[in-house]
Amino acid sequence: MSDIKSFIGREAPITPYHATEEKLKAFCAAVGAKYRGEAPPTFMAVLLPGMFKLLDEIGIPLSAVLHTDQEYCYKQPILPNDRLTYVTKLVKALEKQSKTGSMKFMVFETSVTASRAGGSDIEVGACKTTIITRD
Amino acid sequence: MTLTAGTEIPFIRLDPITQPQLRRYADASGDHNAIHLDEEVAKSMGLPGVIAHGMLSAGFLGERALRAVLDEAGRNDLHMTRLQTRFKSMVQLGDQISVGGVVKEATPERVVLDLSAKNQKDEIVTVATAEFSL
Repeated sequence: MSDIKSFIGREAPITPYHATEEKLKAFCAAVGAKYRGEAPPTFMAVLLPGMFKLLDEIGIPLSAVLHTDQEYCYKQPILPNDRLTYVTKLVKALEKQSKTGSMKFMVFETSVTASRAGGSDIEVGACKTTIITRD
Repeated sequence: MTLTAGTEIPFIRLDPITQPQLRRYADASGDHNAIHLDEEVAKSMGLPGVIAHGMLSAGFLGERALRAVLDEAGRNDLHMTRLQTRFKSMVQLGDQISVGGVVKEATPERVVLDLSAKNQKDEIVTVATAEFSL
């Protein structure tokens, strides 16, 4: 595998996600949350597959990944039937060697936009995901 | 509950983590990492067994924050603007998580909560900061 730093700036393709009411309710049920007519706070976790795609391209198996930090910023609520589009980008990457192998540290940022019927696109929020991986 | 700096957000004890619960979270979130679903894979990765998605405890904390501000304090005029979570230690099957914390800052326009998720041994597994604004 080439130097992890060479992947900084790489983006996953823009991906659509249809946030149906059924998906919002299923997510609420999975985290034991009350459904309040909009996406619960950690719903943008459904967009982690953007990072999974980048990890796959870099050649890192998902099972080697430990999620250490997650941050969400909310600009507008995600509402039922929103069509989300998102772009995930690798913004930081470091590799450290140790006796037991190498450890990588990576930060991904994702910006999320919603389109609604009859309206223009709205920036709903952003995600910052920090992971470490062990070989 | 009134939101003033230092107000405690009582810990709520949740049901023990089960495999069907992790399957349900995997399906709802699209995170099918096998370390959350398959004991053999988890062990092959040097883990003690299947571990819960970090984002599951983040979900518990997000809900605890909303419940405190919207339901318990009745501040329906506030919206969550930021949620920051840090995963400190692994959650395993059977672990019983409690979520609660304290109000860190409170003005009429802005409220910040410091929250944590603890296991049955009182070890902190996840910490979170939730910010709300008008």
